[in-house]
Amino acid sequence: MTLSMMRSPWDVWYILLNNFLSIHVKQVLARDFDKRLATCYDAPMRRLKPGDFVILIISVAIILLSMRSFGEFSGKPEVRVRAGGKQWVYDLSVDTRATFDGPVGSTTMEIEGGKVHVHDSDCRNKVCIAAGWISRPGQWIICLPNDVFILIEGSEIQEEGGADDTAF
Amino acid sequence: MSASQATLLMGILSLPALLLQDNLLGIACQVLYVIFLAIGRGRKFRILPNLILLISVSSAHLLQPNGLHLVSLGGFSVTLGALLLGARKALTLMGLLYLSHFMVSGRPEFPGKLGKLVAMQFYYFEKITTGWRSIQPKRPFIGAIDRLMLLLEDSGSEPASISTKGSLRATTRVLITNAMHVLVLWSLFFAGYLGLLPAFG
Amino acid sequence: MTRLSDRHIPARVEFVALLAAFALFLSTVEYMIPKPVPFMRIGLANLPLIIGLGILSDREYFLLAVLKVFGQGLVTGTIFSYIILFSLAGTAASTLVMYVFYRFARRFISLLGVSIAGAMASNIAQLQLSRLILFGDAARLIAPPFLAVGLVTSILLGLFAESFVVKSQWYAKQKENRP
Repeated sequence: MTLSMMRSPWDVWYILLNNFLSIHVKQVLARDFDKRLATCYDAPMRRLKPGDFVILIISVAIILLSMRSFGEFSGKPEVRVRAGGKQWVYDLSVDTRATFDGPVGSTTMEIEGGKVHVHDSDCRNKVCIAAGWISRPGQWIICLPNDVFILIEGSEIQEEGGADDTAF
Repeated sequence: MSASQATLLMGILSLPALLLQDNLLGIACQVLYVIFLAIGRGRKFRILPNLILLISVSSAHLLQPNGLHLVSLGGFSVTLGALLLGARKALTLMGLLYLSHFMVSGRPEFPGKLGKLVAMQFYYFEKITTGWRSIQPKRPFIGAIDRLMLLLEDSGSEPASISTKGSLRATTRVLITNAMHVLVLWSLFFAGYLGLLPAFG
Repeated sequence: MTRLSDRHIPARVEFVALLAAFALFLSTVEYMIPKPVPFMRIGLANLPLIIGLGILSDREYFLLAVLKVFGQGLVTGTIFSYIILFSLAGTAASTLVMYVFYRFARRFISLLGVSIAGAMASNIAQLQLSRLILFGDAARLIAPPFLAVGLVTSILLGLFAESFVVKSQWYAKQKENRP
């Protein structure tokens, strides 16, 4: 089929499919399976309908859209906890509760609905509990007596920790 | 009750023990047990597909960090909790797979109209697989399928040959063995549930 | 099928069982074809569901889908595991979508479009399920390659089905017999 024979966009679709798809398909099939099996794909080209093209385009669009989510994983905020020379990492978007042991006793951190706070601590002054909830990258809570440091890390670090930010 | 139905029942009673298991060591023991059960029924065990399953599910969970930080791979933290969670999920799937293999290994008959239909489906399935061998030539493909289907319709069905393989009666020994399997799998669950088995992480 | 059945199962239902057996046969054929990547499927077993659209009544069509899932679960021994849920979700989604497209948009799409739409529906349903019970959020990472492979195989299958309904004498005969 030459260009001069083309009459409608429908013929372009036919040529595209026949050239780019069918020929490759035939080559692959001829190589891997059987030449005569490949001839199965000769007949139906003319019977294809415009809706097939629409469905194909929508499907390709869905696949391209699904690729966007690759980016979402790089900048996801994480909760990093340092205690006793070790480090723990948690997903900010998953509700959890974890307990860390320090020199004074144990400190329990809780993640709920994308926010973190110290739920309970064996330290005397309870400053860490009073610090309340944090939720943005760059924010942190520390329990000095029990040596537990909680920090939210992520790509969009904001410089608004709080008044006592400067102390560290 | 037939022997194959006893096996089926044993599996159904044991399924929750695997599904509810929270302890990694517990599920590992259960999986090992059901793998041996399946091997006993002639099921092959290949290490590679299971390894691929274990690794892919475990690594998928690394995207959700959870727990003790082990190493960093290019700004990406590998955490113990995520690894253990992934491993537990993969093991549960493996356990269910082999238990399922074991349960249907005796080709049990299912009750009801659907069971009858499935039996008929298997009857035709056997006819198709044997019929396909006699079809010559096999290419072009469409022509071969055509002749196969036409052949099947002409041959007619013989109701007597619908399988009654599974109707061997269950002896007391079979029942006791199956009850023992249920007991083992449930005690492994309770060992994990009550904290008798060490928990990692 | 003109033959009378003596097992209190109507001949038409027996014909559905035959098609379901054909699906089983195709899934064993698929099992024997070597695949470069695990999790990759061709979906050969969906061929009876695609060609069945033209020769089965609504009830028979959905019965075929149910039998396909059950039979596959029994043959592969996965009926009492998570895998049957994947098979069920995929087949339910693709059956519904293919049925709707074929019944209501037959004038605008051929079996190629039906096959593509069915495969996309099936794969999206299975991805959602794998996100819930197996992979967690990482399911979104395997989505693009999984969907792309499904698209390519469904195109091949759709073209084959379209070609089959044109060339097959058996199909032509069934089409005539359709109640």
